[in-house]
Amino acid sequence: MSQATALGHAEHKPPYRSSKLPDVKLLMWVFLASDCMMFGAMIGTYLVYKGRSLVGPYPLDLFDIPLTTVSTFVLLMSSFLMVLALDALRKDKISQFRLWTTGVIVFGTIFLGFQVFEFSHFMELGLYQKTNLFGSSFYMLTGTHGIHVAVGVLWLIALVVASYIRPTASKDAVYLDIAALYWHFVDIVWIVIFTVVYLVDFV
Amino acid sequence: MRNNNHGSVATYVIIALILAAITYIEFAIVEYTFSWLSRGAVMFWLILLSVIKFILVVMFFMHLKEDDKLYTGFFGSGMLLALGTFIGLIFLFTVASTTNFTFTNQSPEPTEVIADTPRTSVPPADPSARIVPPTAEPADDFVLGTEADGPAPEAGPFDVAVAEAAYTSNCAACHQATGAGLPGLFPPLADHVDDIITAGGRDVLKHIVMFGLAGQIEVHGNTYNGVMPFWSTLSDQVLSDILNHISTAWGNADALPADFEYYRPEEIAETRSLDLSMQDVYGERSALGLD
Repeated sequence: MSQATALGHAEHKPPYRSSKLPDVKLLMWVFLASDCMMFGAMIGTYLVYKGRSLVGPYPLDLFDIPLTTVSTFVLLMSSFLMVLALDALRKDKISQFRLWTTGVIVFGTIFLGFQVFEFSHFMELGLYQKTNLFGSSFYMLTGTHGIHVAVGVLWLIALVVASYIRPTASKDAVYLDIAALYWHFVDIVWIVIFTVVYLVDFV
Repeated sequence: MRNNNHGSVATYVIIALILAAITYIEFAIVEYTFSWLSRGAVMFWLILLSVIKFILVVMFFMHLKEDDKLYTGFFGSGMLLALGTFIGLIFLFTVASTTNFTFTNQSPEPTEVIADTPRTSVPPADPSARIVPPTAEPADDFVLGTEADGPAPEAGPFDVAVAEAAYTSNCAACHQATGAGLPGLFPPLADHVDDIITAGGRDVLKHIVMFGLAGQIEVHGNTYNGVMPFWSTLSDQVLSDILNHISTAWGNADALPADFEYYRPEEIAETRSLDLSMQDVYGERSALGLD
């Protein structure tokens, strides 16, 4: 800074930037990259503990593939609604943006409902976090993912509510854009979990 | 914003249909067994299909395909690090540590054990396979994880090398390989476990390891207020091995009462039903009057 002043640059010159990208969006990608590592570690932990549980219940006793396929489908379709919502907002179609975003919120909530049902069902069958290694690593991984979904739902609710409080237009799209990135990320993490945790066991 | 750069609604619909179709295919090849698909082929297709789904969402729904390459750079490097961590983790705990976890050569037919349970990627820790018959001779089939620091304690009715390997895998991260703990963070076991047992706490020690301990304690003048996790997820054999190891290692054996009985897997099995809370165990430990 002092060097710049010494060279005679006006001090009111905007700070140097290396890119014209919106900071919030760049930051969101950096966050998602770090979240990748967290989920990578958790999925790795699940796999390391796989088959090492000494007491039941084991994955094959509990998993219900048709049910999980439906909830996976719901989450995938919520991602589809999310791109529609962003597309609508970019084209200044505010009521459509609200409609699709509400759709994402509803689908996300349905997914969470499936997860609550699944967890309570598993607990009825005797799987708690302290039961075995499968219980600890499974609840840790899918629970963290569920919290991500819940945060996403709250975030989107906040965006819809905000659109009623102050005028929202295409210039604000970047705020929906980062929420959408987060939402799609949560979706792709579930794509991996669905395959690695659920399906592979039944091959 | 660069609106016109982003995908059209038609593209999104096509991608969503492809994603839905892939999800159905994944479900179908797992749920309905097709005779013309071998297990390896199903596994291959599952992984390939989920990678395709992953890439489609990232490229089209998250717009990385047409967005600034800086985003891709950041996300891609995070993905690479995550993948590296993932592969490293799997490698460390399956390939590199198998000598700690796999069966000794006494286990009948290890290959058959693996073949019988093909649904798991890791050879399952069949409890019976981990039980090592009491033997006084060192187990030379353990290559890794048996690096003894100092002479091994006198051979008791448990396999010292196996017990030490179990301690190294499960306990040493906090209580250290030397049993010295970390002052103020993790209490020492050396020159302390013997005190617990001498004070009549042979069962309390078992309960601490199996059910955990929460509450403030004092050992050798240092205060500790952490939480000792429960280890009831380990097998009877491993738990009794660990208890015997911490009772006898680091010179603790010399200070044990003459009538000390080694821990047996059977008593661990009987203790499981107690299911004490960490607070219960804390009460038991306090009753010993150690602090």
